[in-house]
Amino acid sequence: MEKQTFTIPNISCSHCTKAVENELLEMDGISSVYSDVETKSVTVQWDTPASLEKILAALEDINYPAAQ
Amino acid sequence: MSQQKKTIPVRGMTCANCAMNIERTLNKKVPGIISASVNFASEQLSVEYESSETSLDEIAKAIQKAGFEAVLPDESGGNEDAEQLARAAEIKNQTVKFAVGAVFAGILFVLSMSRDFKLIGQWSHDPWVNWFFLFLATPVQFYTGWDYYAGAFKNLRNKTANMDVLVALGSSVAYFYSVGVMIFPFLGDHVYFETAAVIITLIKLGKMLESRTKGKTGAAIRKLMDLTPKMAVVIKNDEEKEVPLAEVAEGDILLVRPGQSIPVDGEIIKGISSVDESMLSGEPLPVDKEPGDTVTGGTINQQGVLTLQARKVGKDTALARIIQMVQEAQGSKAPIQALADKTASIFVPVVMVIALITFALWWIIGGEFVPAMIRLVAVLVIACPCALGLATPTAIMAGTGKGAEQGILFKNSEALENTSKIQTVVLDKTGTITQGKPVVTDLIKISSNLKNETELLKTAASVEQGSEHPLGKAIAAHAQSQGLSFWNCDNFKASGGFGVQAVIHGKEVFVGKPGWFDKMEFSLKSVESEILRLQNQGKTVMIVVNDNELAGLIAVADTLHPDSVKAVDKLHRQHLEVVMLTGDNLRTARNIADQVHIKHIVSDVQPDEKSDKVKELQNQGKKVCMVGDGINDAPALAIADVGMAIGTGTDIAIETADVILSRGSLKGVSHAIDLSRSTMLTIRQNLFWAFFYNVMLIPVAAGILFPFESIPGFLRNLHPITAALAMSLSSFTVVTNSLRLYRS
Repeated sequence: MEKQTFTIPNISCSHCTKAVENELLEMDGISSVYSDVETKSVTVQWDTPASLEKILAALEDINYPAAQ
Repeated sequence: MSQQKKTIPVRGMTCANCAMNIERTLNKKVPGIISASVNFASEQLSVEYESSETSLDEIAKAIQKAGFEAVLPDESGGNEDAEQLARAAEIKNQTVKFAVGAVFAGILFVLSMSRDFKLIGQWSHDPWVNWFFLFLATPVQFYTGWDYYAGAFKNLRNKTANMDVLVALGSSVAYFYSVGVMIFPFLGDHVYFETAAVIITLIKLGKMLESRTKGKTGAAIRKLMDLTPKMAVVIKNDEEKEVPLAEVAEGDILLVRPGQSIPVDGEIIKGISSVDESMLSGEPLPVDKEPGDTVTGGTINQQGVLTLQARKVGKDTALARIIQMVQEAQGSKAPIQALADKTASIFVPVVMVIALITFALWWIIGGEFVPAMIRLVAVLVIACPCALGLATPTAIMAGTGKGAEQGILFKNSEALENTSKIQTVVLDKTGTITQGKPVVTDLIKISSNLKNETELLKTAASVEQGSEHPLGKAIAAHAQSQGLSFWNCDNFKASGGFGVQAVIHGKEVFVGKPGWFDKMEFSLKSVESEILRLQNQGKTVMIVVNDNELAGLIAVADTLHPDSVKAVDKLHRQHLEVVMLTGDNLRTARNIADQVHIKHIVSDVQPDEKSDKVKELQNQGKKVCMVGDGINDAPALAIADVGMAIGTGTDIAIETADVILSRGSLKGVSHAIDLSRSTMLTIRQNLFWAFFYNVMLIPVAAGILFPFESIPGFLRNLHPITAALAMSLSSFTVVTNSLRLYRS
């Protein structure tokens, strides 16, 4: 089980957090997602088949890229 | 298989990313979508879809699932109507909620006050009266007041406390405590239903007034988009073909006939004409164009047929960039939190702490639970000042009402608030400081065959009487204003972009620009210095030639608005920095600026650079007010802290602005600033008075006077009458204070 918090500069309202959560929760292997408008962050817990690369790609894909 | 293209209003978007969320949802999750694009600022979705695979209903469902609301057009009306209907529905919703609150709370208030002040008989203390009160208060609490519960919940989740929290908490405590009293008599003997209902109703009144005055930004952007034609004529292999604008590519050769809008930004390769760029630049005079010149999409071709090569299409055109800037500026404008909310964010937690301390102390010292709880309720009820609901709306109503009387329309309360903080006023030159239309300024007779200047004017005006050109119109209008009649003329002929000619009394008369006569090899050497002198003053010079002899010169210029000098002086006296912004060169700009005593000039500004200049001033930490009238001013109007549109300006400017000066005079700017300053002062005074009585009584409610036995009982234990009196007094003070603004 891996857990990491990403900062996503594009998050600017509660709809954004919902969109990020919905997208990630649809991926296989993701067990929990929590995103926060105030800190513009999302905390993800995952297991294989999900991976850091896949998560970053998914975020990139929906136009909420994580800050490096 | 048939493709459908629709534009649907979408509500509920709170940031620019929301628009992208919707686009993505549609493209990914709805089959049959060909393209979907959502405009955040205009709240519109443009969608193209295969009608055999999906329907508008399914699209709306997908949007709803993503957390937004699509407003589908009803069968009778078009899309534009659907948006209007949605806005009207919102106003109606607020109005109905307020009306329900007003009726029920009104009856409740009158009955309850009459009972407390013993104006009606003993029957009013019968138990059924309390149940009747409950019946009256419940719809107000949960129908009219529902928005506050929802708002308070959202706020608390974000760990802030605003007005909604105060309203929801205060009214709920009053309401539920009263219900408790009726079920468990040991809790007390007085109900506070009217307090709860009146608080909610008064604050709803403010919300209703606000929803009625909301700005219409969506319509503004649609108007801009409507400027470009939907179709363009493309020449391919020597054949003319009409194609949709979206299919025009860079490098295409386009044909634009007289009277048509120019579809894209391009370069003229054939033809001479003049182009009306007023909607873009605000400049009143058409600009002459010949091969090699550039033209801008959205401007209107006047007389000649133009062939042009498309240089910039789609998102790259100047107009598209202006539209985008307006959208971004509107999207980035952070909503100003209401003053009442700011006060509440401190006040609410403080009151809650006081209430809890009161409860704890009474329980520990007194040793009994019920009296301690009654104290807690008393503190919360007395602390929820219903005058707070009146403080802002009444002052804003009085302020905006007074403004409307003077021709100053504030679009919303934020505009009113922001106007009071302005430090720098940026004035657009043409149409704002000046009248924005050409008038004759100089008549110089040269030929000795003419009796006087009047005859020169009459000659030129007789030729120009049939002219459609603004310069010609200015000459004809000037002659008419002098009471001159026109001579008959024959063989009238206009040479596009140069001038006009006609035969009067058998003699050929030419009226036109100096360049025309150079081309005809007619020497203007004798008046060269005179022409230069007039041009240096920013004037347009026309030459009149009668029977092959130089008759005279007529200069035409945009002149100062009669109020401008006084208006700018007044702004200086208000300690405001005044800046003039113009696309003209510094020489012409300086000429106008000197006349109105403006020191700061920003000249040679391209139409799409105006908002950058405003931003620069803002980056220096200044609160900037932009005053303008043209489409090119719209982005600057939107990005400025306050945008003011001169009432005679273009629709787009008027709709983008926060404040409209409907009398078309610059004097409105200083009036608006004066008015907003005094309105904000009134609001602050109101907030003070709204809190004053209640804050004074909080210690009383907490029981601070209880130990002093010589003090009357209604003060030792907070009596409902004391609470009612405080409420009435604070409301009365606030309303009277606001009305003072209207009378001043």
